[in-house]
Amino acid sequence: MKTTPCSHGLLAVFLILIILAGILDDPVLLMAGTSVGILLMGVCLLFLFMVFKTCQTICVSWKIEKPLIRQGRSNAIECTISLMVPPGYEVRYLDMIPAMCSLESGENQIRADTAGPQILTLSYRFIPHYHGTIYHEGGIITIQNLFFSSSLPLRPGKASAPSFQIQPWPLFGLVEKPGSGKDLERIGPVKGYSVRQYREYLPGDDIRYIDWKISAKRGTLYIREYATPADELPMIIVDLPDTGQEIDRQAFSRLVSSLSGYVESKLAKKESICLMAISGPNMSDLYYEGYDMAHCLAIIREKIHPVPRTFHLFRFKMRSDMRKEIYQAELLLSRSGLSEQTQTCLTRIHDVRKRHMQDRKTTRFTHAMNTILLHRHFHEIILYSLCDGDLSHIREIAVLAVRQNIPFLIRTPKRSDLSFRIPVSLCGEAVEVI
Amino acid sequence: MGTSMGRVFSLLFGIIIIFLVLYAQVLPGYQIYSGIFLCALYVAAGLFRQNSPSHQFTRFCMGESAAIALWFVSSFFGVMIALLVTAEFLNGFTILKNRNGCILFALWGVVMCILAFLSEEIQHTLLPCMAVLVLAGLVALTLLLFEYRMVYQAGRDEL
Repeated sequence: MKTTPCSHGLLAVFLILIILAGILDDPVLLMAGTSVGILLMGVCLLFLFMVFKTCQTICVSWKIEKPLIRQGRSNAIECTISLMVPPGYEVRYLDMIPAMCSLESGENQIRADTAGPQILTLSYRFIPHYHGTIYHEGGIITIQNLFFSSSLPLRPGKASAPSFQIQPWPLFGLVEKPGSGKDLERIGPVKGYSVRQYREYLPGDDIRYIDWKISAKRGTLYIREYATPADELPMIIVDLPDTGQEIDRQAFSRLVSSLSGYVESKLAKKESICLMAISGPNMSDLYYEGYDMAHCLAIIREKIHPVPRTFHLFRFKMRSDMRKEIYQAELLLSRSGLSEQTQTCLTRIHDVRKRHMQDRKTTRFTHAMNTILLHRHFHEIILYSLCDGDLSHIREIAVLAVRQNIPFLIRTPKRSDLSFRIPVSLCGEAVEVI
Repeated sequence: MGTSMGRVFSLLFGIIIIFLVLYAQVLPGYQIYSGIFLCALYVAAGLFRQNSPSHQFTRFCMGESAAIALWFVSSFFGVMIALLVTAEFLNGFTILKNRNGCILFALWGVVMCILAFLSEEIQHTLLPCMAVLVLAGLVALTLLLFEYRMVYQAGRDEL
């Protein structure tokens, strides 16, 4: 139970009067002090009684959107709580975010201060970071009046506790089998990548591209327009910061303004763009391709925010770098005239890297990016990033871009807190400070 | 309801002040003058109506001091003023809006009357002060234990 300034005041009055009664030896002060003390205790007893009565009226139910999800993907919880709020009381409910999950959007707390029967509903989205079965742990209800407040846990029964399963989605491993279109769809950002848009049939169009499902739904013939390698779109990648990390808000808003400005300038000329978001080595759901300015700007407004990161690539050694090291070691070892110590050192490097190559697979992030870049021919890649913390994922993209011979540009906002740091090119790409 | 109740309390205080002034004419004394002054101050503070808890608490303290000042003159006046002040205070804090709050106030009123009667009998206050403090501590402990049990029970209960 917590006390408020009002109860502190009453307690102070009680103590002052009692102490004064003791010092001045005055029964009037004693009785006045005692009456204030009794009043405070009475109010406290009444508060506890009302809390007890309110608790008996509480009924909570939770509904989880998907019972089975993939690690790193968002899920939603809807909580409905019905209770009787006594007059003069305020009730706040805080739903506990499931363990090992972070809040993505929405509010997980709600308050009611209107007396009478109330039905409160709250819903929020969260992202699980670990796999396994997670049981919802309920929430905490806080009942308060102007004198006291008390918090009580509300837990679902063990048998009826809402739960959901999280499928593991490891950092390493393949994301597709070669030549399997269905697997390609699972990558996320490249979902439906081959169809650019649907439009109404015009005389002369190839009838093989008619989409019969949409045509049947709309009543007129609709044509699938495929994106071809000759599109020459600019690929804009936004590296969203981690919600768990302190970020320079000003720098981030500058980054978003610069991105919006660039997108507007491109779309104003009716040039198509391809916009996607990543957050470190985590692929985001955001993927847009087209030339609809309003839609694209709405996406930027809604989705370009810090997001929780499931995976991080701290000091990640890329396979290509390891391969290069092995190659260099082999080259040096083939030369004659090396000292025994150098030979031992090079052999050691060669062995260690070989073992690492066997153990460590390519990241799913690299696979996904590689797939996107292989299947499309982008005119250029522009990456918007705060360039804060680990930059391994940016380096991965830079290497892939160099391999595909696509110009790669990093745009990063000027940082007030890192004025001494000069943005360094990771793989020979251009770095522009905005 | 709050405004109409406020008017009733202001009217009652007005009547009491007039009565006290008349009483002071018959039996003059500095304590009754200070009591009247504090009562008038309490009513005046109520005219600047603010619904903030701090304002209401300030008024309660003023009213309590008026009650104490008048208790020195007569315990009847003291109890009456204390009852009125507390009723307005609790009404401002919406405690008197339910039946349990009214019962609490009625019981507290009865205890006040008993205390007023007892105050006439007490000669020295040192031991009663100690007793009050010890009792207050015990009651507070009991209430906290009750609350702890309730929280513990709520944690164990399955919805």
